Amino acid sequence: MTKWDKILIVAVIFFALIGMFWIKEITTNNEHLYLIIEVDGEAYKKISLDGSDVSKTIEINTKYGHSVIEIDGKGARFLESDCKDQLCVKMGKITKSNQTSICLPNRVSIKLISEKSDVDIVSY
Amino acid sequence: MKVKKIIYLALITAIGIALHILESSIPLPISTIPGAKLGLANIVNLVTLVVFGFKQALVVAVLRCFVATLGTGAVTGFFYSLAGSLLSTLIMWVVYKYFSKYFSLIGVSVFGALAHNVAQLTVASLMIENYLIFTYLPMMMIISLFTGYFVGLVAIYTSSHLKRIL
Repeated sequence: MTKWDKILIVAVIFFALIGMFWIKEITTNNEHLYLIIEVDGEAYKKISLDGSDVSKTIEINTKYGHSVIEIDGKGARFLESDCKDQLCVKMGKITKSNQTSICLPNRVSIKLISEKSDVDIVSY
Repeated sequence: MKVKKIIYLALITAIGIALHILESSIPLPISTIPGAKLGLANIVNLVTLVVFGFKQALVVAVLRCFVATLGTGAVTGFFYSLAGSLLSTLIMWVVYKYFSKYFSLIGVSVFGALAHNVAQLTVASLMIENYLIFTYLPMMMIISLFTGYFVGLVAIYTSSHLKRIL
């Protein structure tokens, strides 16, 4: 082991760590997220998420029922729903692109999509 | 002398084939990276490079890949291993010839392992036409540090003894 061997090893570790972080950034692709709210299969609202911590609520009243969706800068969730099973509320917050949360009885779905989704799927 | 050299090269190729087939049956305890392996056959490449020279190392590498493919029956793996061992032999030769006053054989073998990774991922990305396979590279770089260190260490001891015999 010479001095240059050690330098090489440290450099390789350094570049590998940088690469790992960079790859994590591009594969999760959580920038420019949009929340799409659909009611009865039709787009109801499209909201851009900005990453801040301020939350607001959106009430949706349809003939099927009443839902309250809470949105902050990083994700969204069903806060309240008058449906019977409450699955949508138990689903919790969605924060990553292509995640969905659906309230079937009220026919409301919320879905996160990413603006620059040049990647369809990443499989390992 | 020439016959002796040929016999030694044949023996070392046989050892390389044996190591190549042997290491395909050794599971690594790292399940997150499929395709990570010990690179035992790289010992043979490196030792040939040091003891005999670049041309002989290339011949040994190509022959090893051919015969080991016949032995293991992994035809798709043939292109990976051929590209990997050719590029790693080339890189190791450059580093050994021009930078051997800076790097010991451990450094040379780490360079070889990195080149092996890059070549294999390039072949894989050409085959499945998806450059995203390069997301494996950082993890493979970390693993190739350990295997490269080990290979270099083995090559140091082996080549010092072999040089004395020849």
